[in-house]
Amino acid sequence: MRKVLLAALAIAVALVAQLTVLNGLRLPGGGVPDLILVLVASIGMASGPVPGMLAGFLAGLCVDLAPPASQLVGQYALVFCLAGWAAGRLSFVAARSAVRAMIAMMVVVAAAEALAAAVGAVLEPAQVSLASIRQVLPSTVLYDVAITPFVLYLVIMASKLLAPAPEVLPASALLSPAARSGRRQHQPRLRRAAARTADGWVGGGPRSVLGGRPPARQTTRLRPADGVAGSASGLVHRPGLPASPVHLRLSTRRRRDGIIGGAALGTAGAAGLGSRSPARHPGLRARGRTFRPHHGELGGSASGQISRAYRSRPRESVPINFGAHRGDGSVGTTLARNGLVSAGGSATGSRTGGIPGAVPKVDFRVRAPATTRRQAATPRFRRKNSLLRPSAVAFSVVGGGVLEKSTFAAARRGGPTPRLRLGRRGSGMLGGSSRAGTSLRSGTARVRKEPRFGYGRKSWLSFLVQRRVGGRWLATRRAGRRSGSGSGSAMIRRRTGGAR
Amino acid sequence: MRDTRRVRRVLVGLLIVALALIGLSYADGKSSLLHGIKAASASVFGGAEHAGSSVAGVFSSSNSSSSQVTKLQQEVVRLRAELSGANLSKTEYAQLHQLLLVAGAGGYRIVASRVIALGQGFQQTVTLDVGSADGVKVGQTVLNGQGLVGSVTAVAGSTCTVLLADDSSSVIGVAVAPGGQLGYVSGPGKTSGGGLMKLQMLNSTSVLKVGEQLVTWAAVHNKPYVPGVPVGTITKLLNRNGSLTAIAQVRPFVNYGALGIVGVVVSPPNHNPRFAVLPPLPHPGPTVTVTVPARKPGASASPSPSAGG
Repeated sequence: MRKVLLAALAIAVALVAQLTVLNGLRLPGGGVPDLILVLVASIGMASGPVPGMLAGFLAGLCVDLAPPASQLVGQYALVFCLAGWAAGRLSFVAARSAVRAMIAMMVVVAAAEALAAAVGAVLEPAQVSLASIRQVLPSTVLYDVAITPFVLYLVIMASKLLAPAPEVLPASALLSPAARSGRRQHQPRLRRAAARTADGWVGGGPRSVLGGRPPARQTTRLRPADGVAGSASGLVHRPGLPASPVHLRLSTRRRRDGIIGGAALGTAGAAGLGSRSPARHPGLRARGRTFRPHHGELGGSASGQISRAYRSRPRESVPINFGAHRGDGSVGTTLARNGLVSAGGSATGSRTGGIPGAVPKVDFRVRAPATTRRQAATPRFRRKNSLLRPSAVAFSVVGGGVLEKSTFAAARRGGPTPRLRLGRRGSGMLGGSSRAGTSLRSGTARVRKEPRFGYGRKSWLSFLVQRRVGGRWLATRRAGRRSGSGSGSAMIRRRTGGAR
Repeated sequence: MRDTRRVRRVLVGLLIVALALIGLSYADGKSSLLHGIKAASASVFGGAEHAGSSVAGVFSSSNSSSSQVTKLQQEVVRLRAELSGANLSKTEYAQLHQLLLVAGAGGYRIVASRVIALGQGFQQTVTLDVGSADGVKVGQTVLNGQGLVGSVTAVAGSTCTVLLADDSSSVIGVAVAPGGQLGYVSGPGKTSGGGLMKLQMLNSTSVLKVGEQLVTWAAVHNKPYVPGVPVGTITKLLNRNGSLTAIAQVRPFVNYGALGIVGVVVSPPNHNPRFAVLPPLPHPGPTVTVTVPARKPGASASPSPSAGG
């Protein structure tokens, strides 16, 4: 409310100053700065499109009605309304850089002056001639541009003083580091560990509390063979695990889903990965490696990340713990029989620690890295009917990129299809092959805001359309607006520093 | 960020309202609704402009030197009551003085006023601080100490709006000074060229000369301008091939960018003053030689009297 009053007061003062003082100035070129227009655009820049256009409409109406005016009523209301809207539309740039805010303002102001001249020339050709436009317009735009920084600075400072909530004012974040840090407080701390135990995701460690780093799991015996389920098999039993059967999602052949080597789907899934993922997957592209989905590397997309490091290592027999419960081992069996080595581990085996007698030993003939002590890929199994919790969403965004529409859709549906979704690199989901184990090391790649090659990079059009290459636009698309005010999109907005 | 539906709705709504207003005022400028709105806003904004110009006047008049003010003050002390503003700067005294001389020469009955606001954009309009309470009506002529300023187009209670004579939509019927040939002058608007007007004669036989002066010539019932107000001087003849009548460039007497004290002619003269108000022609006379007496070395250094008096 105070903002509205202050804006009205500022417009009134600007109107009087414009009519009594500024219009009487005799400046070279014949034009005078249009303080009202610059003020309206600044309000739009500081407060968004709707306040901008309302302020513009009312200020323009005042200009149309104030006594010396002889133009048609509504002329300046039209122009200033559009100017305020356009400035508000471009207000996201104010959150990023002051220079860009200035440039956007200047563009808006120049366009508005040109539009005002055009409207005048159309509506009142007797008074506004082309010669006069040619005479007055350049100098007017020049003077407007000259006063723009000062007005914008004042408006932004005033709106920042008046508005304690920085979310309302995207531009105020530019000038208040406190506000920015205040926003970051609500940001979930993203970490590489799996979800908490009650998240409906299997594999959250018992100590996986928010904010903590996941401990190195000594109990995990991860077999770094190609395609071996980086299974959670070695994990100790933890109390409080879901008693309901764990549903695996096998071979969701989606982009950046890891595909566990479901036997039947293995090749097809690999083809899907190979055809789509290298083109679109930012992480893969960033490394400059192409994902090579062939047999033996079906253990999720993450496998491409580190395969080079292990390709030269000697082969080695890798024992795999197949779960002894509920036929989990059938996955691995199928895989082993097919020679596809991306075996999904057993979920329940991970829970119970497995039964030693049920652990087969599989000798993989494919490239197998040396057995180094590696950290486990934390399996995440989704329980049936488990709702996604914000933390889970956050983690999956950061770690695995599983924040897809399918995730939400499955959550809404209640998960009719038991599928095991393999995480990408860093997701720590089950069944990423041994290579998924490195996910725990490479970790939170997507938290970083620095663009990797091409990813999240600003294109030269990003200035206008607020899209980056990949990046937020991609994430928003993927998270979907259907999540609405849920924490998923809000988190994305926060993460990516979106203005509004 | 894309436009949400709400943003779009508001934008479209406001644009529709603006276009409706434009259409309304375009179709019928005399509609009662708009008229009422304009009158109300004129009273509101006029008051604000009064205050604003007086505030601005404090700053602008603070640098007035008082050397000549005292003398001018004596000259116009009897006229001060006509102005609502009590404190006048030095330039305003000069302007008021000149204005009253012109009014006296032409027999115009004027209301002196001050320009308090100027039009926005391409509008060559000003607001004066007199209104219907002072007897100002729409259509009356406005002049200042140099010549024609414009005519009143809108009147509120305490303010009125004047369309300047150099607006590109204004046309002034004029008579050329010695002979009285008739023509019309159209305003240049805000174009380059120093605000030179264009004179077009009506009679094909009339011959123009550079330096001739123009006065307004009333059409009917002293409308749109009272007769005899100086307009400008012919500076250049534009004889184009194929034009039936003579065309010339006219430099107006009034500097429309620096209007201060102006007068609204509330009552036209009883008889046409013809060319009585025109300033004397700058004819080349004998060179005036000023002899300064040699200053005695012992004399006290008193400042020599300025030649302005």
